[in-house]
Amino acid sequence: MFEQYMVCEDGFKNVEENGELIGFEVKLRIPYYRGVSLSLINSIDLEVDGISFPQDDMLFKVETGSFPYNELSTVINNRWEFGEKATLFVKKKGGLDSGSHKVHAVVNLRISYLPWPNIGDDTKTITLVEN
Amino acid sequence: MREKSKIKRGVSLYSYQEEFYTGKLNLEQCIAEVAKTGAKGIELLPEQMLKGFPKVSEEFVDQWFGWMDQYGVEPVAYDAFLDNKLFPNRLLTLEENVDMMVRDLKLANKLGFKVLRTLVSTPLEVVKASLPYAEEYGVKIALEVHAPFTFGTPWFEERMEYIISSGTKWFGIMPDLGIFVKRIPPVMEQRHIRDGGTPEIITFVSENYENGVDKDETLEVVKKMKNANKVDLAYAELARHLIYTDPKILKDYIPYIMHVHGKYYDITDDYKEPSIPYKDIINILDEAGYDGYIDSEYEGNRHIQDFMEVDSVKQVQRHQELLKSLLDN
Repeated sequence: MFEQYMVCEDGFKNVEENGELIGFEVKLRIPYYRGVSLSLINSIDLEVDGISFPQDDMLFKVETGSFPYNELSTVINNRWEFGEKATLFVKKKGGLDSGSHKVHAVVNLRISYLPWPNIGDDTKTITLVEN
Repeated sequence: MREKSKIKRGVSLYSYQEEFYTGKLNLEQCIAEVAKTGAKGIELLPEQMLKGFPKVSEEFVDQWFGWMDQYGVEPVAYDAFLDNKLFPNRLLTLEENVDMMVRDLKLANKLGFKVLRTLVSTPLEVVKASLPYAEEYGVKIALEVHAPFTFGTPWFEERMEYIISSGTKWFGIMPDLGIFVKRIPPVMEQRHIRDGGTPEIITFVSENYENGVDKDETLEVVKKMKNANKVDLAYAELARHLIYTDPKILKDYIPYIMHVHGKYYDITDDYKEPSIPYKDIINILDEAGYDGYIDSEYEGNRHIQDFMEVDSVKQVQRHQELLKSLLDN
């Protein structure tokens, strides 16, 4: 129900390591009304300008830790807090071109008391912060 | 003149979720807003507003009680979730569920809450096995009676029968006033029209709901309408999840009611809740001798946030004014 706030306008940037651009980061807020253990994330899908990125290349970072996407289902003691801007890092050689991009994220959460998942879907055109 | 009501007024901080999420209000500011309305009770969803849940530091606990003193309020209800789908490949075992319940009972006790809200989905076996801990920590477990579940359903009767036959003082019920939705909230209607619903079909569904026409039947009729679009269908489907129960039923359950969620979707400029008959409900509770809390639980933000700035503070103030006028206190 907070999905319209999910893709954050700030913190969208390329990531540099040893002088090379290795990927980019986008900040996401939870599309739900409480914080949850990271194990309750069923999936995160990301598209930039219509191109989707493999989840194997993603890293999800909250204030208390940083986890490869494929390990999220085991993380029961770290939470994505309500309103927290978590960082999704995506490995991409050379990063993204400067300027604005259409970012589409879909976050699917497993909610124990509901028979169906809670799915947040948000698309925003946001501008890459210059490094 | 009518005697002063014994019913107490509180606010669930859930009501301020929009402002908390976007960073306009922090936890202390939410508590301060409650105090400004004259309400005395605080209800909290720890998983929403307690950073680092389920761990809290001693400093935080001191800070929490400091706020209670400073703002002249008291902790009332703790809303727990019981994440029994914590792992993607299996449900928690009974023992793991009880451990999670005990974790919440302990935290509720630490923060001074006397009632823990558990959800419709909590298995009865888990509640039964948790009752000795509820007693140990002095925190009652209250089952939320929430739409689309309500009084009289097999789900409810099974639990009520256990409460009565066991004679337990540590398990009871917490009606959510969302089970008394007499007409579909206008904020929901308007949202569906903004999203592209057909005004005539939306009105048809709303009127059928208000007139007590079977909701499944209404959905079938809408499905057959040639001009019905996706949003119209979603609206007819939404109506199936709303429910109207005659508030008189509350009278029979007064001894088991541990807390009341004062759910509302919108309080208009003239201090009315267009969808829930507050006056009838409060009169019944009052006359039957309910002396616990009713907490404001604003749930309108999600229906208006697409087109206007949410003002939960104003909505809570208005709801408290409505309660005050009905309770004379």
